[in-house]
Amino acid sequence: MKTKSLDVIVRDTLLDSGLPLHYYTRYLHHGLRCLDELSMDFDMGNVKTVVLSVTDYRRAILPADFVDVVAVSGKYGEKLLPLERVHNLNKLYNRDSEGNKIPYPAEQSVNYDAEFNYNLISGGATMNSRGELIGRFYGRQRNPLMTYDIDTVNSELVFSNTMDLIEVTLTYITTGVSRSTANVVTPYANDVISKYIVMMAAKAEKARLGEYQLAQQDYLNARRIFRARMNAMDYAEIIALIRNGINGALKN
Amino acid sequence: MTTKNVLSEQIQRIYARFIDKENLSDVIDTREINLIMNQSINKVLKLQVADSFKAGLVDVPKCNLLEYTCAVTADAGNNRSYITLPAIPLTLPMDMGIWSIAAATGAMTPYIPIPAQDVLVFQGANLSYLEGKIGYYLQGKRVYFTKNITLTANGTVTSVVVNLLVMDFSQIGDNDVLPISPEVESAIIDDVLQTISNGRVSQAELASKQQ
Repeated sequence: MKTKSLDVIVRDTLLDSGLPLHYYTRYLHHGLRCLDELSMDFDMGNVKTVVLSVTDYRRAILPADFVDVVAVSGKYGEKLLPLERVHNLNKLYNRDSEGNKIPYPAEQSVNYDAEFNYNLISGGATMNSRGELIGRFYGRQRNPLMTYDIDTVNSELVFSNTMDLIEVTLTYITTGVSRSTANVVTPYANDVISKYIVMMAAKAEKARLGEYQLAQQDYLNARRIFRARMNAMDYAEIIALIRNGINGALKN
Repeated sequence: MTTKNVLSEQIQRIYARFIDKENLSDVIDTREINLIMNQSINKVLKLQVADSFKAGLVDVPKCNLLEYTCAVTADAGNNRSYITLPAIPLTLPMDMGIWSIAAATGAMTPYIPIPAQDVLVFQGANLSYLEGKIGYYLQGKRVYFTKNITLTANGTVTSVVVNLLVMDFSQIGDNDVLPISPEVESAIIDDVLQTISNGRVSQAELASKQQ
């Protein structure tokens, strides 16, 4: 796959600006900052996939270079089926009497007050204290079983009690900037990084009024083109989207 | 094209003819003129570079660069190496007085110059990796490399070629072509004459002062 090194982009930009090699480190710094920022929104080769083992207390340890999750999936033949993220899983560890970490018990065994329990599950004041439906139950909320959430304090994935896989496949974003090998980017990113460098150099060198704004406009335009190129959509994809959006329905 | 001898003789003639009209035989020693001329060229050089910077051109006059070969010394304790500068270059923005440093066998792949003020700041930042390249920075009379370039992994470099922007008369023979731009020759002559005529008076002026 054709790539372009950040070193070459920086040298190109120095040539564009008519500057000697003495400005290389300043320009490289701007280029690295830009790459770091772009990698948060675009796949600059920083989206990784790993298989994680699920512990007996329903957690999996996140990789050290994890920034954010793209998908947590289970293997299904040749496909990966995504788990659903929910935000109400308890992130605190559950421990037995000897202090060992254990999974939380299943929901069914929790003996809450009926009103509290039903209303919490159904998502609104739809039951009375005897568990009788009082109306206004517009649409039942589903209760997904294969769910996960992220425990940022302990850098772990937390799974629901009903998630019974022993391995999950994690697709995640890591930082886009390497500090052990020379950075390379897609040729699409060449112009946007170059324009960012010029803009930041104009700012750092306290350019005359208007020069920074012009450089900024150049950068924003280049970023728009970059975004369009990275998210190109062809006829087949549009057709597939329409077809996927059409489902059978009950006839009245 | 001019040489040290041509310039100093011209200065002597002008000095003898015009500065002290009543004492034509009074000439100044060539060694003294050379010393002042060396200082004057560096001054004019700095002004010349400053003028081009002011005009928006970030560059140095290449014909003024002097090339030296320097031995590299390892500083293994700090995982770096250094050379001792044979001459102190002009002080320019981004340390451009040191125009380039390259391994003796790698003239077209020079090391990366790092402005001295940046080198301590970027430790720990992504920039410190320098995309795997080796940089250098100035500190006093020494130039330090960011890696120990004497090691096999870094090229086993024992000497480097350094291009400095400075006038160093010790490197130039009396009749060698003087590496200065022709357009600054007259400015140098004027400046040297100005310096050596400072505080000098003619015999007539001296006599009138004594009266």
